[in-house]
Amino acid sequence: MTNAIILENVSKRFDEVWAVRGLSLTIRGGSIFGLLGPNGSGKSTTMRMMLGLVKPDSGRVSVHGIDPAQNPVGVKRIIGYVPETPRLYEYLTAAEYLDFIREAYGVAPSVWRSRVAEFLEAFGLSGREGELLAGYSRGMKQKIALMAAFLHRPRVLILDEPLSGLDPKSARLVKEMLHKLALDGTTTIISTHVLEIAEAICDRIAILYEGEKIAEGSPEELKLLSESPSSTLEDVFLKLTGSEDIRELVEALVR
Amino acid sequence: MIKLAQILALSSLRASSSQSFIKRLLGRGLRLNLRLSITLFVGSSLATYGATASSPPQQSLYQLLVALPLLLMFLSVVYTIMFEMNRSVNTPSVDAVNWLPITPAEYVVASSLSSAYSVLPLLSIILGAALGIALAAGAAHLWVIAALLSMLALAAGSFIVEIILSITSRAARRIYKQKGRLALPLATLFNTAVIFIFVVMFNFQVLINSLKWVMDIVGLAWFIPPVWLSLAMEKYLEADLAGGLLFTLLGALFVFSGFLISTALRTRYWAVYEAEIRITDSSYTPKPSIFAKLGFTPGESAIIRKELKSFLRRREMAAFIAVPAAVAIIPFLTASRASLALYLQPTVGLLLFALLLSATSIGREGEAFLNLLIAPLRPGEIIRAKAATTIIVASPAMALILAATLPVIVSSWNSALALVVAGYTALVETVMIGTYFSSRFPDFTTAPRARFIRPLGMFLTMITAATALAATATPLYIYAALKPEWLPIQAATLLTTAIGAGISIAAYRGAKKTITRLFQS
Repeated sequence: MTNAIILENVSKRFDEVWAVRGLSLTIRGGSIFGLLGPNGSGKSTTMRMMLGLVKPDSGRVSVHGIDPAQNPVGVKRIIGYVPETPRLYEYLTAAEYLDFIREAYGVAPSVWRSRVAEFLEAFGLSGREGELLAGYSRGMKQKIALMAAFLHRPRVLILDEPLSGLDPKSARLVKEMLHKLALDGTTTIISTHVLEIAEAICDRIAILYEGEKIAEGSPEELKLLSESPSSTLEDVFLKLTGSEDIRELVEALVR
Repeated sequence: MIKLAQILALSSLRASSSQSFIKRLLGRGLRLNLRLSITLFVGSSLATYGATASSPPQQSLYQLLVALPLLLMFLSVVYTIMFEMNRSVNTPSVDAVNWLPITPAEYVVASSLSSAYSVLPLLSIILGAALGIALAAGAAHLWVIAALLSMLALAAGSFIVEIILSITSRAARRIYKQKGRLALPLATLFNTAVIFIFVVMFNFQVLINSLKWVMDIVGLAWFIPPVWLSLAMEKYLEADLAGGLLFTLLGALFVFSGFLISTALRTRYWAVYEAEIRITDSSYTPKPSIFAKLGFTPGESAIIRKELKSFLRRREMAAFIAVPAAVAIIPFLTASRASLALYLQPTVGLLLFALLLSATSIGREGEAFLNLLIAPLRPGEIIRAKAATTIIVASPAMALILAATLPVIVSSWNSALALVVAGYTALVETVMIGTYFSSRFPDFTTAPRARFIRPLGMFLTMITAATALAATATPLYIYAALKPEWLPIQAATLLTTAIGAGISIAAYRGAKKTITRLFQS
């Protein structure tokens, strides 16, 4: 498999703050790549640079050979994106919103109909597509956002906390789908705070801290960074990001 | 209860859609509101005293004192309903009353107090003005009675609002679930009507006419409870103490009944929350878009269809329809004779509608603007789609207005053609100017209240549109006013079209540039 996404020494600054500094990543096509890090570590900015929403101040970004800064429309055609909080049009029904997505991505109606029906059935939303999104729960909106990202068969998926708010069945469905799509050649970048999810589905993980990459590897390789053989990914993450002293904090809070 | 009232009042002030300097100032704290209200009260009473001291208008004073309770009750109802209508759907804090240890009675009283508090500055002006006139006429004691009755009326108005909100919330949830497609536009039209009434009522001439009308009906409508407090005032003015006390007592009973009913309904139906709203039961069937067949790109077609679908579903649209409608219709209510300017008012109202719609087109995306950023859409497509949507909505209305007014104001085909061309040129120009400022000054905040465009942007939109339209209309105006030989009507029409087209193209290019920058920011 060729490399689908390449970031070469990419940096981005907002006023005085370096959101991303000297970041280099090479993401193989057909893989599931995890971006981990505490809040403010640069995960969202990195994703936005891949999507062409943010121009890097230096360095190069390439998504299947397309520079997002130069050809944002071209790169968006091949990407499906799910933000951390679904931003849907509350005054449209689910069906109308998905139809908007269909038309914006230029997918023919005949192709779309069966795909949507299957997804609605799988996510347990069949029969509710005629309701306004304003009345949907958080989890239901997340399902619609995921559908909108998957339905136009993107070559790259960028998912920020994709399983947030999902019931166990839907979460399992999404995980299985990501594996299947990877086998079909779709490249997926996932950002999550739930390290068990990252461990379960990611082929490789990069840990970001204060805009810089501090570790990269498969989950097994990362676990070896810890001194203890029985350490979890969470232990490694907390050690690398300097957040080990949880016990003292807990003692102070419950006193 | 007082503390809850304070919180609700602060929330109301800060969530106001018009975040003027005054509203922001009042939102800082309630003591400031009190001090401002006292200042306004004193100021307005001094102003009216000074204006009427030499010749106190006795008859007008009596009419005003009689109308005060009913007027303030009406004001309280309309103002609070308008606030509730414009409450953002993204304010979950309203559900806090469901799980805090607050009894329904406490909530009703606190909510009513907060409503009164929110309108305190306006009340202070009205009551202060009345006091000034009363002092000038040596009738301060009558003012005291009217003020006390008005306080009761205010309370009644607040309780009426609580009743309306509880019932409509309950009814809305049932209707939305079963007939969402019809219910949503009806709700928007209802909101439009309420705002329209509010705007019309605040036209000075209409207010005076209304006061006279109230005076006429108060005596005849003695059996209608909201009128009792005004009727009490009328009796006091007629020196009928027994009658005054009777209607005061009935008015107080009306207020107390309002409290009991609103508390009972609140107990039963709790706070408002968004229900599931079913638009259609039929299964999803995507179809090719008609707009694609008209030459729009798929992206443009997607945006236009989205905008048209949600047009009447959004509560916020009510103000954009009501205010221009009021601008168009108020002159007909207050004019004493027909004139050319009168028949141009509907066109002005429509252009204002188009301007408001286009100036808020980008900001109306709110947080969902992200969808436009991540979809494969070019900035130009977004601008064209947004402008096209407004033109599509406004064009039929322009055709109707022209069809209705042209036979009255013009006498030749050339003149009619000139006005048709000028009307549509003005429409396109207005839309493009609004779209430019919408992309330049968008406001995507949705909580506590959606604003759509920054205040500076709205101000510049109005000024620029007025100036541009004046420039566009100049050739036709010169022709109409001077009828010079060197400017036949056909040439004037062409010049108007050329100026309008030039301004439209410049605005379109500017909008494309600014939205490209927005994409990159």
